[in-house]
Amino acid sequence: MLSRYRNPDLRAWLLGQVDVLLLLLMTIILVGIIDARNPTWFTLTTLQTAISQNAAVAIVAVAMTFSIISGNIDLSPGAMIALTGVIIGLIFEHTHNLFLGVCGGFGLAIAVGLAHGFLVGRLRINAIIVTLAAYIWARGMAVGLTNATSISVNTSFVNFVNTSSLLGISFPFFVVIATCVIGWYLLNRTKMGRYTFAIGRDVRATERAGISALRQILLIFGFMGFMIAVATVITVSQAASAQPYATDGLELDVIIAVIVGGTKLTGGEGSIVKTAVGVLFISLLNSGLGNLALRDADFYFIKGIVILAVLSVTAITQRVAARYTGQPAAAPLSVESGTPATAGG
Amino acid sequence: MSVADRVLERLRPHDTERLGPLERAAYIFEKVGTIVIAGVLLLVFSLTTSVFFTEANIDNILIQIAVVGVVAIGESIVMLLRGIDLSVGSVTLFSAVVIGVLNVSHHTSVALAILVALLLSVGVGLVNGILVALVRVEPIIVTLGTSLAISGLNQRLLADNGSWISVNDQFFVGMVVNKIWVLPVMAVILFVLYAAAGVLLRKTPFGRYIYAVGGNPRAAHLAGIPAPLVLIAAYALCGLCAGIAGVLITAQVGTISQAVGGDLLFSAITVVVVGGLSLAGGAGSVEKTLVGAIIFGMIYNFLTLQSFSNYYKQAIAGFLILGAAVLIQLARVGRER
Amino acid sequence: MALPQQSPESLSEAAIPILAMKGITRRFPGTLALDDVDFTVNRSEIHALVGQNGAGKSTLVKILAGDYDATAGSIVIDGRPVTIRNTRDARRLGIGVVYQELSLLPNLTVAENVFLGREPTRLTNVNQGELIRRAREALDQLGILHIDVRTRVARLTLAERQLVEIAKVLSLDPRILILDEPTAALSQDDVERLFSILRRLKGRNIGIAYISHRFKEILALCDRGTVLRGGRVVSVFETKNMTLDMLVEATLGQKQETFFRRNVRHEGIRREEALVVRNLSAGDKVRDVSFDIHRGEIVGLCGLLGSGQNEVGRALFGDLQGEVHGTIELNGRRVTPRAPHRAKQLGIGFLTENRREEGLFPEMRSEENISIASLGRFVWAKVLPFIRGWSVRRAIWSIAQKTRVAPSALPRPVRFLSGGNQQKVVISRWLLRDSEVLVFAEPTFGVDVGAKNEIYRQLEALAHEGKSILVISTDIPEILGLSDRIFVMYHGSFTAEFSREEASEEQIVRAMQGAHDHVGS
Repeated sequence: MLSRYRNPDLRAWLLGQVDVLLLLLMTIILVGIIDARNPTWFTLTTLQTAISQNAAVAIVAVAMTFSIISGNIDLSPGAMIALTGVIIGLIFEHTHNLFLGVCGGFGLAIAVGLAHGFLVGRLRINAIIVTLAAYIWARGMAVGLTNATSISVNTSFVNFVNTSSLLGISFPFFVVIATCVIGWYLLNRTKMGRYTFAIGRDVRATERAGISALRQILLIFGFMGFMIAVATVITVSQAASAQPYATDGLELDVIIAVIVGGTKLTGGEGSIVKTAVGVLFISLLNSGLGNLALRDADFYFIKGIVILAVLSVTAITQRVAARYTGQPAAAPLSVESGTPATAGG
Repeated sequence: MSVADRVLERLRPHDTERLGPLERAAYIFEKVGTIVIAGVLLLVFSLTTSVFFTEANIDNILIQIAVVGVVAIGESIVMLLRGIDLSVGSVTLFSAVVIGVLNVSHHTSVALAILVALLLSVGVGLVNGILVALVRVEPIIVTLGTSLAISGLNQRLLADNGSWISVNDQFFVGMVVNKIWVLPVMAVILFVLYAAAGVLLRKTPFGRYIYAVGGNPRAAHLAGIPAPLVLIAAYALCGLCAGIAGVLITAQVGTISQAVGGDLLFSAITVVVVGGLSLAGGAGSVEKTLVGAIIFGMIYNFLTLQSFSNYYKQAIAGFLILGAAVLIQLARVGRER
Repeated sequence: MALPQQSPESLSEAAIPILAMKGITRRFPGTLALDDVDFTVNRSEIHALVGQNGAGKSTLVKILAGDYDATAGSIVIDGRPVTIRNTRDARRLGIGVVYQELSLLPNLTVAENVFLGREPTRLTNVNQGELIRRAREALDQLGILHIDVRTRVARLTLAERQLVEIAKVLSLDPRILILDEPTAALSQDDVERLFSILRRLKGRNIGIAYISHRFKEILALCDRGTVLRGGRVVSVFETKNMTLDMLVEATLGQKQETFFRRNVRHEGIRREEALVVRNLSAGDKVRDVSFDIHRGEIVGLCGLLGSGQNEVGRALFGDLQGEVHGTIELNGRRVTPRAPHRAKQLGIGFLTENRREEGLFPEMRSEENISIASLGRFVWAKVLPFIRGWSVRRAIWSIAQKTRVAPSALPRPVRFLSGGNQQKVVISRWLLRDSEVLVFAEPTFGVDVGAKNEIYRQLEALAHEGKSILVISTDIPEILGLSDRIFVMYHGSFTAEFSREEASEEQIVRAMQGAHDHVGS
């Protein structure tokens, strides 16, 4: 962010944004290519529709940014959205009260999030394993509880979500914007945000400063749980039903959006703005490729190649930019050895 | 020292004076816990379900875990190096698709088809390895990207060849139907591969280098071990395992389509985790992964026999991982106290 | 010469010392680290804590910081007796320590680092403006005007980071500030800047304890000092009454009898030079260093921490980052060890100074740790690369006999072994390799006395066999006992060269402190 609070050194800041600027460029090129084939495709409405259709990705991506910055990747969102939706659906089915269902959904998602936070923060189990397990069991539960059939949810609220628009902005789009703003605020202005960067870099030093890493991790995973619930509400409304196989592979899109935007998997670095551009990219990619009316096969193939290309470009630009931003004489963390450890891979 | 003494010496925690009873229990659990659990499960399942401990059922279990088990070998090796390979599912399907396309659509001999499939699988592994070791991109990202690309390629190939390919060659049929001595062919292949992997890790310099690079990459570098080569070879091996799994799965399903091998990646990781291998690298053994596969297979089979809905089985798998991870972590924490 | 002692009456009048430790004793199993130590720091004073490695300085600091308890003795802060049970107590009591391992987070800004955990907040958000203002104030008060508090720490040099660390510790408003070896890696200018800041601090009525090996700096900066030797106080002085020579004498180590003395057979040292190093330079860590090692000779390289001796060792083994200039000749042939595996092939072996981080594979067995660098020798054939279990084992056993590693320790995971045994394992690794040239950095670091002697005997035996050995150490008695020739480094270049007959501990210490009176060979 270009604010007087943060950037005494403009050059360094700019170099740190190269990856996302390149992504923006690539997105524009992508749009250009697709537009060349289908000249009527790209309009502002298309843009809004693209984002609305990928609203779940966007909302989860904001929370995922926190997760990845803190050094804990989360593979559960896709399955958890499905499960949360199923819970909402089941409660709705039995009580005909959507609000109650939504409460239940929020309760579940946040509870699971906190449980993950506890396992990772207190028992120090690798986040990949814990959330991978959730990826598996949550999907299993979702499908099992519904016997693989969807639960229809059709109320006035659902209609509201799907059709209303304020000043031309649809509800899902509005929620996405709101999430980004909240996420940005949390990350940059609150203690929670700053501490997220801290534990992503060095948990021990952070604890020595008196900050409870457990509390931070609980907050981060709890936040993800909350966002999962929000995304579920949108997803269920858009489909007007709770589908057990919903959002399969969502975490893939989410993680790609975050990484491609420039947030590093190693933790300690990242920004919501970068994630937003990443989400923009993924949404347009999904929408654009879909619009080309490709066969399923071609869709995934091309999507895969494009993502591979973009990931490589991001990785390389980060590498190159790091070399130019490089600290004077590669200052080590401690006084003693002058040779910083090199990882084997 | 007699053989028994040597075995006991290996099992006994080495500084018994310094470890309290809790730590000692944790240590022993870490060493033999998985085998004990497997044994217990075997007992419990056999007693509760009469059909469990029959030859036909055991054969079933072995065949079912063959594919996952083979993939888990490669995944274990990569995880020993503190890495992960998310592309194994796609590569397995890719190998099967290549076999199908060559053998059925192009009438190539089975042997040639298999050879090409394996070579290509190793090729993918090499790409993964080079990107991780030389370009230094994180394994998760690299293998995610490869997975996507290969997945797309699979779709393409399948779409161009009629969406599904039926492989009927005697060779594959034989693999499923025949038995060597008392074991199904698949099981023999599985055990042979595990034995080979075990020998590789224990008895070759390369195997030792894997433990070294995974255990302390810095020290490995300073001991003169060529870490990048070790990494590349490891990912190539993982690709090979996925390729071999593709051959096995072709035999098992007979008809290759998009639906094949979808949950392979996560089953494989479940197996590795349940087997006790840590994501932190440097320690663990393929034998334990095999036990993990057996446990996994037994539980799955038991649930099927109990007519558990397919869906809940997946849920159980997930909870299994959680449970295993928590237990292992508790044991580790207990040991280090 | 009588050492100047501080008589109680001539202490700074009236003012109660900010810190008074009396009769501090700390016992460890097997050693008495501190024996009835009195340590007093006055307000507005910079007080040096001096002594060789193992004299007890870090133990004393750890007691103050709350990491250890004192076995006996009392601590009085500002006239009131206190008990320090943990680091939080220490912080509450106003004790601030700046360690060598900085505790900064490079991905956050200076301001965020200084007030980490204590940010000014408005509800849950950080009050950015206030944070920056306070951080700016904190740095200004110290006279640190050239660092913008909005900069990320990652972009600062080591010296600048150190200043930020000091600001961070000071922002907690300590009454006593302890600095542990702050200048080990700083340039002259940085040291000057640090000193002017510390002098300013005196105006804040703080007591500063300055731990250092660098006598010139102590004489330039500190008001008074305490010398520890073998866990006891041997002198409390005022620097205006002290000279470099007096300091050197005060800190000198044990009596001659406890030295390890090598049996040197002069025929053992052959004429040929095995290793010739000319004009070795690496950044400003190593400046134009030249020396050679003959067959069967042990050359000792010593200096204060950060003087460049470790870098020389690493340069020989291809493990130095950045540009390395100069030539290295092995047996008359010019070689360029660009990487460890190349150096290994050339016949050079390297024992790092930190076996835990860079030497051992903790989960692997000791025997595997030993054989890991030599496996190529023990396979059946290149095409059949299986390890010949029994021949490896036999080779390891015979090496283990030489290095006195207990056979029962061999099948154990190496992390269960004592420090001494662990070190012997790493030594065995290079012995198995049968390298011609061996570079040992801190060969007896963290090793008990018994194992130390065994290691020395081993080095002696290696020299007899005709190996060329470079020992890099900050332990002077060790260097004196082992070496045929000794080179002393200071700020990256040699300040002295001694043969074993001419060397004395005093001369070496002087050379390590920068005295140039014995250069040339």
